[in-house]
Amino acid sequence: MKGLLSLLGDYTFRVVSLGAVLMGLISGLIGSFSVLERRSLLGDAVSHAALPGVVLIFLLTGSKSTEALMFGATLSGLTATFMILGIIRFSRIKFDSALALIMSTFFGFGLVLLTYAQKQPNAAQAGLDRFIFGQASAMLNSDLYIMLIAGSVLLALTLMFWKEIKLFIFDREYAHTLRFSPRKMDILLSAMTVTAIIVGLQTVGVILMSAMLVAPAAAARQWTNRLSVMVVLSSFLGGISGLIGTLISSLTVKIPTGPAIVVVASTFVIISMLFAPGRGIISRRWHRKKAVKTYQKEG
Amino acid sequence: MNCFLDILGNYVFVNSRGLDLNIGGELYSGSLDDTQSSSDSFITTSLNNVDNIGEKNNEIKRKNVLEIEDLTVAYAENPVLWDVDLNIPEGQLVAILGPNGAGKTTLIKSALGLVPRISGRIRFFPSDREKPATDIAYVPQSESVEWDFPATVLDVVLMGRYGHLGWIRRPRSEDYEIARDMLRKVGMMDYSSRQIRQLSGGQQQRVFLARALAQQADLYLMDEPFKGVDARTELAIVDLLRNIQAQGKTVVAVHHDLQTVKEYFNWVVLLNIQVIASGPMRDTFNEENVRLTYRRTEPAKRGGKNR
Amino acid sequence: MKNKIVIMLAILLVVSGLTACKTDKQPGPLKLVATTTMLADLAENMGKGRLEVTGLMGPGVDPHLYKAGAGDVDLLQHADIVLINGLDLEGKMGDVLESLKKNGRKVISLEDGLDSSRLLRDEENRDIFDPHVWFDVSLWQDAARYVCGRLCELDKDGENIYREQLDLYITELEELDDYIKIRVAELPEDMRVLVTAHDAFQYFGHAYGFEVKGLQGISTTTEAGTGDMIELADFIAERRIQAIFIETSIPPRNVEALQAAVNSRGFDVKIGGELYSDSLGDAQSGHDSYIATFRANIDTIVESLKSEG
Repeated sequence: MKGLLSLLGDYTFRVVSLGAVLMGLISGLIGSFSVLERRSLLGDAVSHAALPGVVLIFLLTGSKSTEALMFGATLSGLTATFMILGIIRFSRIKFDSALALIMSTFFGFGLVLLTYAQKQPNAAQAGLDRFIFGQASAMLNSDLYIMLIAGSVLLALTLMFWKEIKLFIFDREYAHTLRFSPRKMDILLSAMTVTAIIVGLQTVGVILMSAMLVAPAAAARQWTNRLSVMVVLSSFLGGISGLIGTLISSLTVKIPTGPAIVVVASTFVIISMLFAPGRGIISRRWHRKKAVKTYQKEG
Repeated sequence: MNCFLDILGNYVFVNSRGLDLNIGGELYSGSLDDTQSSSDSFITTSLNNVDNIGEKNNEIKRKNVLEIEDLTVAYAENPVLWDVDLNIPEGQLVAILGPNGAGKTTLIKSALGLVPRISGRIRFFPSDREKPATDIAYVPQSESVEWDFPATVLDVVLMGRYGHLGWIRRPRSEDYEIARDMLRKVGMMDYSSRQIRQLSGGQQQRVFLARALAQQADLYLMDEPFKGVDARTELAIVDLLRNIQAQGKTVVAVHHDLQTVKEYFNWVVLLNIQVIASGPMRDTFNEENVRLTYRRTEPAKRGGKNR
Repeated sequence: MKNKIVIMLAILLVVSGLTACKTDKQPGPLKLVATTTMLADLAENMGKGRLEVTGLMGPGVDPHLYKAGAGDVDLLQHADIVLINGLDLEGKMGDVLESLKKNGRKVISLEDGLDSSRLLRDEENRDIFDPHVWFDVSLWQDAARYVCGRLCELDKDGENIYREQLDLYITELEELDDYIKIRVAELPEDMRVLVTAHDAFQYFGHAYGFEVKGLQGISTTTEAGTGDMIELADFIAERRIQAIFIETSIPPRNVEALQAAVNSRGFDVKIGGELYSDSLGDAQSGHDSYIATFRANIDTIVESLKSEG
């Protein structure tokens, strides 16, 4: 058990918490769009689809540097996303089925590649699969730079295309009639989502990343009816989850950081679901009761 | 074979009144041009009888704002639209009328390029190639979007200005001004900062209309603008449509109600997978055509192949 | 039609009978499949000329996470003898190995042969044994003796060969043990601290008097928390431990992060090099036998810990 103050001065805590906050901000921002688009499961698909890219890059280059693996992950994540979008566009298969199909195909292919890599007489393949499982406490300074750059680019894109993103998510067809090409918008939004996921993979890993893409946004949605407020709040909740999660994991031992972050984010969701004014369960119950009462009085 | 005769009958029937109706086969394509001049004069006289037509009509009606040629759309092999040829003249209030599954919505969507077509040519403002695409305003069915989206009424109406702005540029204060004006026009100004989820069906419809109006377009394509709307709103919308028309603009609306169509519109397209008839309300909307449009058997599905 | 089928079946039976006879008559070397590289090396040493040894996992493979592919299952099913570590080391292969045992395959598991009083237990969960038994050379000798005994049982004709080779191997292991002890003696006692990515080296520490600290638990599947990282960094800085070590089967990130954390405390810890933990080295490195690997490990450890001391 360490004092809070000395913790703030600690190098590991600073790096990890900064990384976790950045990851939370990014996934909160991008998650808002995925949730509103009803494509939040994309996080799951992309993070699983990253595996074949990771292994392929290693097989081709023999490099296990974070940058190289991230590049591979991004490429295969993007390919998977575009295949999902292509399937919805050109067939009658629905989003969730297309997603399940592509996700399992890619992950399966990744496992095949991984097995192949393991059969190589080369000890260097060790730990490839760990890339997509993340390890928040092992964050390095260089990871922070990658996150900072990715985060800034994503923020800039969001600000630049704010109007288009809003229009496109609300009314895709109308956007099309205004000559905002849905294909371009799809590319933009999925590229943003994939980037966010790949950045987060390093921190919280494949399973928890999809949670981080949904939880802050879902919590934020409960409190506001304005997109701008929702996006800001969602990023904020994501960042705070990162901070508190790291704190919890730092103050004691044997609590892994990534899961701690997700537990905090989920707590925000539960609180929001229950207590948010207007949309929260309690508030809705209360309003209904009131309505019934007035109705009974009048009747 | 049966239906082939029907179509032929239609053509003869309509054509005898000198209407500009193209039933689509090469068979008749030559004769259409011949009838052009006489049909024009006929439309002039007949249209003058219709209510709510501005004086400008005499010059306007010559131009088409939308020409559809040979349009076929199919979902999984079932034709939804079969060989549709249609011209929409400028300055009219046009109703697209037909039973469920007649392809009314698909006609509008495929004209806008929202639905892929198997064949066909679509030309907006054929006489004026310079016209930008923002001159077409689309009003989708209100249930086609997620109203739970976190946006206010003003946000949505402002979207009507996005086409003029193009990529990246932000709405300017004049765009806000236009959006507010349009909200006033549809009587929704008091709701401008309301979350769109809290609106009734009629209010949602009005917001969509305001959004289209904010485009300040020349052609309005509306998918069931009266759906889920109370009687008062319906009248308000009709007023609005007439207002649009009075400015020399064109409205094409999918309509459902045989009772009101005559009162609200002055031009009608009777559609049931194929165009059964199309022309000025007074001449085209008659019992025979309506019967052909609404009868149970679906002639076009099989009949098309007989051509 | 029926006749045809009967004839076909008859032919099939005859053919398969013939082939079966063939294998019975010409007993080639027995096929032994070992899961980890250490076990494959052990079997190789015991059964020279008598056994055809195949290792399931290649060098650098993490046995905690290794999943058996269809080809592996096939290999296991066609093996005459299967040699496994047990003690939950092959965590993801549990079902496959279990079903092999159930189907009456000849499975030799170190788990059954080692004296459980000599086994270490997981620090948190006392019911779980630490599976990394090969890090204690004397325990590995026990393992060799047990495997030899079982091999003699299963292949009586080869008994002499096995016994002979066991004696040779035990001697080699004795030499290795001596070598390790000599090298360890080069380090002052307070410097015998080994910090690695996961808790694989407990047996090593126990046998040769090292204090062992791992960032993760004894299995690589668990994730270290930020608190663990901070605690370990404090420990290293306080004790002024010269070097920390990367393991071949675990990505180096964790140890690099630990190094950065220690450096931030004003103490310059270096990364002492790669230790072989859950797998032997590859042929390229020349450390592809148990003895060579262990020698490489102890050299790495001693050299990095003692320099600048």
